Amino acid sequence: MELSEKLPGTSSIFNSENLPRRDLLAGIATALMVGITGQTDAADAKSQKDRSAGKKNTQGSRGSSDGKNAINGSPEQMTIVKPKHLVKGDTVGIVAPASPLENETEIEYTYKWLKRAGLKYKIGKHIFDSYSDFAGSDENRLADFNSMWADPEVKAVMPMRGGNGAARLLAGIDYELIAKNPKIIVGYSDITSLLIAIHQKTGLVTFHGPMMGGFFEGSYTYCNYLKAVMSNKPLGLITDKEEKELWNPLGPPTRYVIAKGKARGRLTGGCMTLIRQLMGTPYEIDTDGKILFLEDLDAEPHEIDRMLYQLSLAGKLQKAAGIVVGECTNCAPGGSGRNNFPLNVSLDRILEQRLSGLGIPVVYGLRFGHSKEKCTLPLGVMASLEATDGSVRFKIEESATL
Amino acid sequence: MSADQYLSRRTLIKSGTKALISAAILAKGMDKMAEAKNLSKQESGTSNATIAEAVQSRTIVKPNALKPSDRVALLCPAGRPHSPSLINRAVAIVEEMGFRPKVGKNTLKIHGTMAGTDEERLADFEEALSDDSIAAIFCVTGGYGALHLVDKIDWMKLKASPKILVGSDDNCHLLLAAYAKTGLVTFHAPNMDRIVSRQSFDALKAAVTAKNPHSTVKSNYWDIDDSFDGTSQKKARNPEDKWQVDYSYAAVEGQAEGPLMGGNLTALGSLMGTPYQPPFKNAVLFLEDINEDHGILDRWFTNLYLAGALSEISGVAFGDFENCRTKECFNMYSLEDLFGDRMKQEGKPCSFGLPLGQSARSLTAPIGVRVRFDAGKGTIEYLETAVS
Repeated sequence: MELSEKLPGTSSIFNSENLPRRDLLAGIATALMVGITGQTDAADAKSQKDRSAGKKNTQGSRGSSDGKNAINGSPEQMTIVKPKHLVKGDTVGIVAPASPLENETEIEYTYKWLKRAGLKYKIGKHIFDSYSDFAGSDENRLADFNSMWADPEVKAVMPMRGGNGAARLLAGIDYELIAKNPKIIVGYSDITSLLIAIHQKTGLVTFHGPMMGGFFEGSYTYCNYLKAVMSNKPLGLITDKEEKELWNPLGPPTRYVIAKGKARGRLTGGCMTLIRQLMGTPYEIDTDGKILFLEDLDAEPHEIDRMLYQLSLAGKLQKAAGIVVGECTNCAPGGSGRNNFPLNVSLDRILEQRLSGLGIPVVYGLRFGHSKEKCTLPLGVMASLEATDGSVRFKIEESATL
Repeated sequence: MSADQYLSRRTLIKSGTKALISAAILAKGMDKMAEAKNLSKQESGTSNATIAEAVQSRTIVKPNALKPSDRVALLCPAGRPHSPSLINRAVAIVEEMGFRPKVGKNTLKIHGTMAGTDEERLADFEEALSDDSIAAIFCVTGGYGALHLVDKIDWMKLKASPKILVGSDDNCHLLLAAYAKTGLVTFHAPNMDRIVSRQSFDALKAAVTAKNPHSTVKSNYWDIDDSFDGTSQKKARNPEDKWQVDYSYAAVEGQAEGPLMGGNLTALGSLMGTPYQPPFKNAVLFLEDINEDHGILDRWFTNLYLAGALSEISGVAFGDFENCRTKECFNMYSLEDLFGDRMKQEGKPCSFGLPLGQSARSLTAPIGVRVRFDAGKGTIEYLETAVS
């Protein structure tokens, strides 16, 4: 939080020229960022080169061929559409396609932090409505959502929070309208369904990251978020937040390698419960040759096992080039507070059982998902994953915005 | 729990199982060895004709009706029983029905929440499938783990020698996968550990024995015989007393006809998008679940809607959602509201509160048989027998 306050501007964060003039604290704090910037510049140039080189692309092991096809736009692959990145003074449209804020005044924090980032906002008509645990009826939420894409003033559609109910809208979303007006959309949890559906129906790059209700939760979250939506540079190497308090680490072990290997492919994924909810539907996740990222909340290990087993029965895991598992919050045995079985096995064991034998690299414990500190991952851009003994390199190679 | 602890515990239980099973078998004077020799003799040859028939047109394969003193395998394809005495109880239930129980070897193994490793549970199931003297498989308990067997079981073997398959909860994965892969009529009834009323007992017995039951499932059917389960706190209800009768609610009135299909909503959701997804065409769908949040149940029902299943089916009969709750949900509506609104939108007959599922009053629902569903009256009428 302190870090973010030191860095009110957004574009300046990524400007390495400013660095020597910063005070020591901010300098140390941004050292990571600068490292990324340096690498990403190179990566950008490289990916541009890859694109021009076309078929001669030989980087990566398993995912390379699929990635190459995607870049060359082979007929069965969709064309990737990138939204424009936000600049200061742009307006974001705040919607609630899933659940409403539990406490309506919390939105004041959102306004304050948007202002700090230099962004204006517009709110949907129905974001405080209520129908069951959704923010209003399906029709009203849908009307809000579609009207934000139609509004030329709105440069990004930002859900307030997840919860439940976004998948109920999928059949009514105007995908043609979205394809005509590519905009940034960021979310996680229940919003995963929108991200996957919109990405696969229109080719638009969507972002798995914090929402309006909490993009200011932590400095790591905030910086990564603004870097993703307010810059057109590749996100580059994903680095973890510096663990100041190592005495009592929360969350999973960082970057625990379940299976070693190298992979390259487009990113896709999100919250496992939602990926499961889309199985058998026209919005079912396509993992073919992609790097799949997964996270979840409030699921017992056996429920995670059920979801992963279903994905493997459908061939989704086998087709992926690599798998990155983020934080699974409250997913330890008994953690969800419901359906806990005696002698349940641990989540780590389940992940090992289900994911270690696929012959693709699998890493567990990156900081994304329902944790307070999370990075923003764009769906549909090229990424690479290298998992070896004691080191994991997870890199977003391509820029996600124009 | 460490591996050592696991191991020591498992061996301890293992020896216990053996003693228990042999005691059960000896007590009833069954000869274990004689049955073991019966396997794999009259397989394959005779049944190839029936396979070809079933493949050509998606015909329904009906298992043979159970006769007195037929052998019934008691298996745990999913979770482990909470206590070994549940196996004894299941043995007693099967004997009271007039059949001869055979307890699977690995039913009391422990592997996490499951009754043994995948291989051990599969071995039990495969053994029962290939044993021609066994006419039916009754699942003892639910839990989690049956999904792991779905892609490992040789379904063609089941098709070749159809057996009665009874279960619910997680075992519903097996029922639906068997129906999807072979067209076999399977039986959704409370697992043996959840048969706690005379009503459930009689319904199961009638479904697996009677050649021509033509029975009807009514929504206000409730008659618990408390003496059946001494530990139950539930009081017997008097169906004559209107205050004690469970009423149904029809969100959309109307009639529907088609094969009865469905079961546990969580299990049905786990088979979506896989090769084991059951056919929805014209089906009268029945759904039930246990110990689940309304928000999660709405997710899986939305999954069916997005997959187009709700427009393919002819109606939905919602069974018992026991201990399903609105806990930790923000202003959560009831399932009647959430599902009912969706069904109103689809315009398909649907009613709530049918005695199907895993509660004390639950009846047996044979998956695959043709039924007539009347949402307004809250009844399901069987148009054909479940067994041949």
